[in-house]
Amino acid sequence: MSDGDLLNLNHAREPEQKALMEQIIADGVCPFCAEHFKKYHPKPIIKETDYWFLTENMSPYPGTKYHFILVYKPAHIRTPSEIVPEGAADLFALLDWAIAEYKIPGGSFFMRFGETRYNGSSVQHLHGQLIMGDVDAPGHQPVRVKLG
Amino acid sequence: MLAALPDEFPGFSALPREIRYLMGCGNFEQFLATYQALAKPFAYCPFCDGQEKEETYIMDTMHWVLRHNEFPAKGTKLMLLIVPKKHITDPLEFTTYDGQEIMTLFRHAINHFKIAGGALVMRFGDPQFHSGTVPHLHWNIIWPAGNVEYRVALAKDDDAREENYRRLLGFRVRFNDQGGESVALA
Repeated sequence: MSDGDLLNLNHAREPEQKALMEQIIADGVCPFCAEHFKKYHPKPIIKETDYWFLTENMSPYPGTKYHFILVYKPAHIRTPSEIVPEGAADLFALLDWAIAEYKIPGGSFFMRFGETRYNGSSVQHLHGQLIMGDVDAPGHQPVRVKLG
Repeated sequence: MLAALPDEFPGFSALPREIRYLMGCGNFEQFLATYQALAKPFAYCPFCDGQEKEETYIMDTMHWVLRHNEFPAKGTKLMLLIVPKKHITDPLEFTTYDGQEIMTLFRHAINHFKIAGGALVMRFGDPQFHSGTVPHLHWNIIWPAGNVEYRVALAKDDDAREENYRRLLGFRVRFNDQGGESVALA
């Protein structure tokens, strides 16, 4: 696996994120594969199922109140179309759980896929992102996610 | 719905939910469709009405439809929608089968249109916390053009909201000129 296949440093947003990504590239592993995830991800795992890790994003987007990531566990895949049927059902159950647990009144969920020039992704392992804008905070920043 | 709007932006949280949705509309046609859907959701919801419309229909499963987005954003090569046939507005209403059907339609879209990359996006709940325009839940498949930066808005700041409000007031003028609600909901 080449480094470019797994991580895209051009899409790192924070210095500590970039530093960690450089370390991971040196180690030659995928940081989101289940056997490595807990080693590299600095935030606690909130919930773990057979198919997904739910945790906070290590570099939440400015302007968000909540920014969770859901990382696919069973295999190193890059597109939602490769999710096994049970994993797709489990994803919805986990989303429902998070929305209810954190009383999220509204927000967005998205998954990037395919070539990085079209999706702005930093890690090429399927993960979803659950976001709620912190719209009541003074000086709230807009949340505009880079895709292409 | 529009008559009582003040000339000055009163702040997003002071506005009713319907107006928050209308503020997200980028053009008059989208505004009109959203207005009709908000006023009479069961008659005009754009995602309940015309699910089999030939111009946009691509494929369906038992509970979901894959269709073209009638209002693709600038900077995108292709925008598609995966929409539940039932008028669902809360993701907590999804069943375990929905995830599998969504993935079936997504897989078809990727293969059929040879989509090289992008994102699958769903907004939900109160539009104060996202930038959606249609309450009926749906997934967007977004394939950016790739030659220009494309960003998807998931939450806006007050400046952008105020700009959206002014745009909405412009739509109101055109709406009234065309006969207002009595014509739009005829």
